[in-house]
Amino acid sequence: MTNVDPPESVPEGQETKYRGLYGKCVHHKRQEFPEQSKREILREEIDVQRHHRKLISYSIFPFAQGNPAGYKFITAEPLEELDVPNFDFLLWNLDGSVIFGEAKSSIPDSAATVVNQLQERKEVAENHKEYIEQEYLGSDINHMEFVVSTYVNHGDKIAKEIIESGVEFITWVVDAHSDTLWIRQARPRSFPGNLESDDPDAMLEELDRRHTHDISSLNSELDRVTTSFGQADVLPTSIIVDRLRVVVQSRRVEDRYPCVDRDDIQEYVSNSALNYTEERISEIVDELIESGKRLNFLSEWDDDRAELKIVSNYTAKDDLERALENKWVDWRIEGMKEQLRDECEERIVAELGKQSQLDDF
Amino acid sequence: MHIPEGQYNLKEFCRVIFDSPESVLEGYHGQRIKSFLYLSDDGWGDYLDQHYETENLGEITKFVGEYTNRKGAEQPAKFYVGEYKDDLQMVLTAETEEAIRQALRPVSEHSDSLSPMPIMTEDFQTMNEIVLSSYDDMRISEFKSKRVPSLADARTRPDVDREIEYKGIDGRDRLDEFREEYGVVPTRIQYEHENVSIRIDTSGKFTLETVNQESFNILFELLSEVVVNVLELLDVANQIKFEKREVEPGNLKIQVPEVSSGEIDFDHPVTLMQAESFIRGTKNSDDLNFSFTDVTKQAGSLDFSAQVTDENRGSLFNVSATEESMRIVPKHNCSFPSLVEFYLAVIQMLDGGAKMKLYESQTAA
Repeated sequence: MTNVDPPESVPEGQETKYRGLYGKCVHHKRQEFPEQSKREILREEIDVQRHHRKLISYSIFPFAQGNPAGYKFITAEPLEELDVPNFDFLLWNLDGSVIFGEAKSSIPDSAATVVNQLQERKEVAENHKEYIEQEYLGSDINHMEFVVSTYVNHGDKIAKEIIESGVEFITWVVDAHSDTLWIRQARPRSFPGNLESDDPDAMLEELDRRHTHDISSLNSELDRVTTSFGQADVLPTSIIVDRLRVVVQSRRVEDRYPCVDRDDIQEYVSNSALNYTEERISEIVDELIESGKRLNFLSEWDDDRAELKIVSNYTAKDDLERALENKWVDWRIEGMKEQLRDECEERIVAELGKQSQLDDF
Repeated sequence: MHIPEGQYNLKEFCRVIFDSPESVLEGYHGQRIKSFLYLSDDGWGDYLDQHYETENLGEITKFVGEYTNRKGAEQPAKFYVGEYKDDLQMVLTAETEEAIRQALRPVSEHSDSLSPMPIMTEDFQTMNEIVLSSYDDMRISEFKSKRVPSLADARTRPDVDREIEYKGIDGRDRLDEFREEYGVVPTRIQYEHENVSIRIDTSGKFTLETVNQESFNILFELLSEVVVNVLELLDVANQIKFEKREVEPGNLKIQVPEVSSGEIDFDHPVTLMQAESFIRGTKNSDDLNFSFTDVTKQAGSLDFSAQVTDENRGSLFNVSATEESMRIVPKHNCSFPSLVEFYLAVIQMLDGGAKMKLYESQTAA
């Protein structure tokens, strides 16, 4: 650590002392740094992201393959360009009705926090109604509904919380084991406390009304419908490692070198993303390339064969994704260690500062 | 093959071969003809022209590729292709396996308009029955068979996934015996007869060890049996596609997805272990070049999904499977050869009784 340049705030003559203390601090912090468990947490993060993307995919598949009650899938992450809390998908019946959908691949014990978040997103969407009409649909919205989609084992928890809190959200559940999507099955198994009637039949009716769509054909067409993974490839706000899969997908191999052109990525993104503007797609591609370089997953290639090379010891096709994940984990770990160094620097500077003040006396 | 110059249709062409096999096969080490069937689409002819030196002999096209022989010398390999039926091409050759591997296989490997024709296991059984019922004294000298529960019951441990290869002059009896005992059905058979020796397998390759009219008759008779199902498969594969439709319901142009997915229905419940070994199998195969990314897998009842890339053609599709079926959601450049080849991989390595069809959105039972 002796070759570390002390920051300028370190008083003259104290440099050696700084280096010594700093070295000790970093050494100590590094020893205490739980690298293994941090790596595991990051791997889980990748997994969570995958499940989230998959859930979105399952939720919109029926609207890409067909058009239940006239609804089609319009775009993933509406309003994301405005940097406001946004939903995961937007469906529209090309008439006057839209559905905003949020996918939650797991629900925490305190489901109320999720409901608050949903409520916030709903308000944002409602406030941007005109913007959506103008920028996304080109026509008026006269009916808005909101959906939270989750895996089947979390359905009851969230549906109950939603109905108890009185928020108007419809719960969809996806059973990935059987590739099906359900609406009515998501009805909570017990009555929430805030139903207005005491008559069980009326209560049931009210419960049904609250967690099903106004358009009854949508309920019947969507309930226990088979669905599939396959849509929703490009989600601009997910974690970068998940987005960089796009690069793995769009790469080609030249003489055993995996490589990619900007145009390849652009083509992939624009084929996978619906209703993003050209500019937005370009921005997404720029971000992907920049992040790829930052992770040392992509590098400029001074070669006629392609603009960018995928940096990997593997030439084998399947392992590029693993290489990407490893690089991202390494990069995040490096970032955490960087932060340890910054913390040490700050602390030692402060300590030296105190000492120099003492010396002044 | 040395074919005299002329204008042929497929039948006349075959006649030239069996009328004078000595001169046609002169100089060829192996005195046999191999026939390969390919599903095709518009543009396959142009594709051939781009990759081979071609010459028209009437309705037959001769195409010549290069390969490196065992001594390391570059040699030409000659193939002849004719249309058996619309969208179904027959390639005939007398070249060695090595020449075929190097010079013929690439013909379909990267093409969006040609794919090897698979034969469904069930059709293969029908073919076998036809041969055996036409020739009481037809011997089977060699066969390979595998467990397909929908086609055969097994007396011994019916749950075991098994494959049996047999060589012996009494293959005909053993075939039945193994079928009853182990529930296996053939996927490759070598027939032997006084005048006829031919070998057939489910990947659409027919080997005529005896080059005579009888062998060709059998070949054509068997083909006529499978052609309906095979063309139906092509039709299904051609309909599996992803498109974006532009609509203008208001004053903006909006894109909406129009996905037409496929579905492979399994004949018996597939486990995670089988799905994993299928992925490994496609990876280790010399013939296939599929890669799997974004794999999610969970045991219990099967929950498996992945993005599949056909590395040769650059096509992409997603699969998600339950125990009963696998959905195929097309993404990019998803042309029929990728899908047919993937289906062939499924019936050869995962489930011999699997059927590919169009997915229809359905309310689950």
